[in-house]
Amino acid sequence: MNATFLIARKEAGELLLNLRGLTWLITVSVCLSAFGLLLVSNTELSLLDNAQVVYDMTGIVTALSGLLALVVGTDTIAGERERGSLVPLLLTPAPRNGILFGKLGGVAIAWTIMYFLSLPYLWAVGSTGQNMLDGMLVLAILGTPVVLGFGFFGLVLGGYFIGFCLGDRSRRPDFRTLCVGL
Amino acid sequence: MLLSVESLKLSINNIPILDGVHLSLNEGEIHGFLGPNGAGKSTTINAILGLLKADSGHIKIFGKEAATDVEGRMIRKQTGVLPEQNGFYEWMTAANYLEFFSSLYGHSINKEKIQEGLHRVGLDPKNGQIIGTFSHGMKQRLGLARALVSNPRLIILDEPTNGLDPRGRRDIHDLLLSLAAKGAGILLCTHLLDDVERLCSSVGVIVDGRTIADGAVNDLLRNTENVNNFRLRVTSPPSAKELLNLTENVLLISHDDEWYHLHIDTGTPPETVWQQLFDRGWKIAEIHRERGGVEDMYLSLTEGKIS
Repeated sequence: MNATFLIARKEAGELLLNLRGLTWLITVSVCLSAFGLLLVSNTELSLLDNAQVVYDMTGIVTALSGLLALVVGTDTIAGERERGSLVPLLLTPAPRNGILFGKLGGVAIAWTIMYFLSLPYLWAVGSTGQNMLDGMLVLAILGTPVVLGFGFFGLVLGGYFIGFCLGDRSRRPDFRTLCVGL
Repeated sequence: MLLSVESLKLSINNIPILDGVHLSLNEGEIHGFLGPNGAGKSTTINAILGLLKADSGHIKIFGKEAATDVEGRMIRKQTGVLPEQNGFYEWMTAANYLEFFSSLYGHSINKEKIQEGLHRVGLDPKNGQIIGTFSHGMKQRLGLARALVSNPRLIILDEPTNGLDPRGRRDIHDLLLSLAAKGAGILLCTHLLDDVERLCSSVGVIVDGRTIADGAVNDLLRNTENVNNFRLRVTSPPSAKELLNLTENVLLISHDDEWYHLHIDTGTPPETVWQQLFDRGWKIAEIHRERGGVEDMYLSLTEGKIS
């Protein structure tokens, strides 16, 4: 089986089967519930029209997903290094690019989970489904590059932290080293 | 030769960590890699594994230097490692964990093989038991199972018996000896000199990033005899009173039948002690300098060299 796919699947497990990942998902859900409630109240008071509320919700989902991607991206490198599980992974014959894309795949899976998690909220704030399809499309088209970008930034940030804290600061690491951390 | 390291130098943040490390490992050999804390053992291992880049020197694994990523991957495919930092995916079961790593090594592994791999290291987790619930010793065994999952030719182990109970240690010893008998080369980095004494045919000692001794255990033991301990055969056994009144600077360690084991304080010439014992009526037939174990050898080699 392809190393990228294996690592991405492992990252998905890290998010869905690990208490740490589940805690993040639940936290994001609670935030979405709070924002959803505020937006519904606005709609009820006729302060915002329906389309506006749906697009506001897509913005909130994108922002929260970006934050989650940043956390997942950083944790997948720096967190794993801290927990000692990155080194055994790097010692396998899996190509470095495969590990990097696998980690990015994990971010993509986190975004997919967030996307489906946000659908009931979009449905709820849009007065039972109005403008929902438009909202989903906007979320897919605009949210995907934003979230993956944040995830990739998180990977680089994680790699940088490792390099900064543990590595050799006198050497300038190449880009892939920066991302994978070693 | 499976592994050879020559004149390895490495610095981190311009601080020299390794300054001339030599090491060699052949097929079927277990090589002990010893040194005090902070001597550079783990750094050497990280450099061998390509996790740290050396400033100068040569590292050859299977006769090749891993210059490219592809070569590095080929080497890693035949190398099993139990690193110092040994983390796990705590939400996985041991079987899933081994399956994951086996797949990364390019092997499709069935349930029987996984169970065999776990049994080999003495691990028998309950069905569905996640790694997060494992004890330290169980995790150590799982790390070893992971290192051996690809049937590697070169095995690098950093403190493999750390945290294991005595029976577990003995089982791992037997496993390593059987792997070496099948031709695998094992680099064993440990502080447990009992492990070295029992397992290793050769050792390298590193102090302050520099190799100070490297060779067959027997050769090194021969060169580092315990200078102050002697074994005497006495034909007419001395009385208990005589034993209690040994000359100054001499301590009786033990005696059995005709053999007496003595320790002479540093600075006292043994010849003067023999003369004093002779004057007291001891009939000494034989004198042998005691040969120390690996621990004596290690202490003797590192004495005064640890900064």
